[in-house]
Amino acid sequence: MEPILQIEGAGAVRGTTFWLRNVNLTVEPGTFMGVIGRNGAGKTTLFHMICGLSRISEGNVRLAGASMRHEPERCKRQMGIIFDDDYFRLDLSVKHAGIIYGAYYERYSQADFLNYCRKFEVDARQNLRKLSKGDYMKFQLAFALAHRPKLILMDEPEAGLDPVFRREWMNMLYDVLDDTCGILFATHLTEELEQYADAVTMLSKGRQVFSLTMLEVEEQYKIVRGSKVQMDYLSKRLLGRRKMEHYEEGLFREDGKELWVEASVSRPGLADLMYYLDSK
Amino acid sequence: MEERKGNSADKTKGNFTLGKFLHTGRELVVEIRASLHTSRGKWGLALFLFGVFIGIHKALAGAGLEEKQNNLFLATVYSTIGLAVLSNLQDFKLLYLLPITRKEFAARQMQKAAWLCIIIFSVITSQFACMSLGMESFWQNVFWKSIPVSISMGAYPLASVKPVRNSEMQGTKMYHLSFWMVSLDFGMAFLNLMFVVDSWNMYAWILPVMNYATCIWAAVYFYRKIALADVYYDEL
Repeated sequence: MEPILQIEGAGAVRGTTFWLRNVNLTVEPGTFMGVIGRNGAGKTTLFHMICGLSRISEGNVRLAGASMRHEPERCKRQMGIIFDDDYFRLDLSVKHAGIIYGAYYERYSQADFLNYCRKFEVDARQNLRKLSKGDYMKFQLAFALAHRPKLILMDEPEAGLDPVFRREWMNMLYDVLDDTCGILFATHLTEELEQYADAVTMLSKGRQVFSLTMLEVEEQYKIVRGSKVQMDYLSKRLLGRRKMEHYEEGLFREDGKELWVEASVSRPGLADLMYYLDSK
Repeated sequence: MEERKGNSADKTKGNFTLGKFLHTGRELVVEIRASLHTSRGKWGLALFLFGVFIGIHKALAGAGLEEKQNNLFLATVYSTIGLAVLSNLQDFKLLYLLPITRKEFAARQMQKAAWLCIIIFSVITSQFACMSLGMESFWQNVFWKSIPVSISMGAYPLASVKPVRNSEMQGTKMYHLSFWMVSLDFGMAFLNLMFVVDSWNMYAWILPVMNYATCIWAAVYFYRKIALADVYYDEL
């Protein structure tokens, strides 16, 4: 099956500075991919490049076979966008925003939009400015789904939301995900991603660290805990290391060789990966 | 399903079609209606109606021609500013996120400008109609004043489109008509409007002809500036 999103060596330059360099990732249909990284890692620039807010300076971004460089309008029609900031005109009511902006999409259906609003419990008569942050996100999701996108892009939409809503939101996304659609989700909520994501891409300082399925992450990276002596013995194989109260902990990449020490080995969380691969 | 077919058919045609023009009009009505929920929009409507009211009131009141001319000028200014405030046509990030080409977007903006021209044209013409100028003089003024002035004024709300919030403060004016262009266009329109014509002689033509030239130039310039801009949101 053709991938929904294919990024091949893409990069963004502003002036003489590279903001993002050599990103390669693929989102398959029915896949939920998370993008993680510290602030300033390049997540937003990546999303801006995918949705046409940023110029693609090198490489290419393909959406359902169409090139973002050469056919941006075709690509944008396949995209549903959920951002943290308010890019809709906030004077409009939910219903009118659907009417006005939906007209720009070939496959948009106002009836579907209103059905999704009902399903997500968003008042269609309410002014966008008066919606709570959670309802505004639901509105964006309803609008995105009403034009049947192949890719839903979400750039840290959950910032400032309570934990209950965040979980409900992830459940909602999981419900709407089907075999024709993929989700690319930039977030700092690594716990939620561990529960829901099928794949994850990590960025650091404008470069891609990895883009793997969750299974591959589990297979390739391990956390090892042991005494200082044991960790000193392993130090050449460790990607990162930190001192705890009673033991030391490190991250290593599985290379098929035995450890030769009696240290405890466990699966790393995404937060661990970020800490060891991207901290000073 | 039918709605989807309709949208699809709409996309296949050219940028300047009757269907798209009517859709833009509907969009403008919805935007104006939405603006009325804000205090800014209410002030805009009040200013617009005030302009219409004093324009027609003074025109009917039987004052001298000079007073009528001054009043016509002021009333049009009020109405235009009110309309600009009311139809707040600012498009921020959304311009880059919607699946349309720059040319299509530019065409839609021009169609919105055309709707605004029609409204301003109606305001000015209704004042001329109330001035008891006589049939010939009325048509002279419609042709030499109402049409070019409304084209110039129609561009005003569009000239204030900012691609990024506060971009003006940051010095980015991607879609703006330049200051000199705006001054020339509106200055010429106001000068033209200051003098009501009552003959077809050459002196009466000069200002209107110059007004026609500047308003058409400004419209083409504005369209080209939007349609041919090769600037991305992040570069603003």
